[in-house]
Amino acid sequence: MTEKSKGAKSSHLRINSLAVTKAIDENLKLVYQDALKDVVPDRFTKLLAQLREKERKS
Amino acid sequence: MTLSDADPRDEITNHIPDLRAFAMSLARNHAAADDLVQDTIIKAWTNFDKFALGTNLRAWLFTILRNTFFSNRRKASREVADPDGIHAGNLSVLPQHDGKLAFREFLVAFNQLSAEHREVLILVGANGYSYEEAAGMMGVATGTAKSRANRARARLCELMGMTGPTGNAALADPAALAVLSQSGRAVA
Repeated sequence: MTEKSKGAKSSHLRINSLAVTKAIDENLKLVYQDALKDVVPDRFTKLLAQLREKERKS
Repeated sequence: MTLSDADPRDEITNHIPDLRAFAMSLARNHAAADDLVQDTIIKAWTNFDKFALGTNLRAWLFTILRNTFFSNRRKASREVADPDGIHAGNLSVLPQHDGKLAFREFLVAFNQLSAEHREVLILVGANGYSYEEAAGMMGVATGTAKSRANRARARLCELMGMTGPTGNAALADPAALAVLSQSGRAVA
């Protein structure tokens, strides 16, 4: 990540120093990884099978 | 095409967990997220000729998913477009007295962000896409993606009580930074 905070004029830009960005990104990864752990419901494998089947018939 | 040729569309299966994770960050509830994933799969399957083989399938699927999400939202127009999350977050989460911010509180703050902010943070921060790639998926200029991400991070800090009433970053205060880095995992 190339976050440049040089020449920051506003507090917003100051907040986005590399260290904070890194800390936030780590938390974001945890949010995302958490959601990734969910077991994929059958409906999606069934859906793909249906789409495949429908196409074969046509 | 011979029988042994694998259908490249079968690859879609491998991306379902990521589609669901991305959809959750946008829709914020499982039922809506899974409907979004279902629409995405159907669109991807039926429009697969538009996918340039050899390019990034996940990025293509993400693009379909976010376009579906935002166009559904426009149609429903239940939620006002709110790229800076002005309407979304009045509820502020403050760090506890022991200086630790639980991961749960980060999640609460994250979910108060606007969908546009959640999107850019999940693409860049969690998935590691470059600003260029994220901008491509969001259909905006790279500079827009970058400034949106900056505003999203600033808003997140604000929601976690990391900025003072004057809007000055609490960053000069090392404790504030420690709070944020402890919210994810325990720093031993």
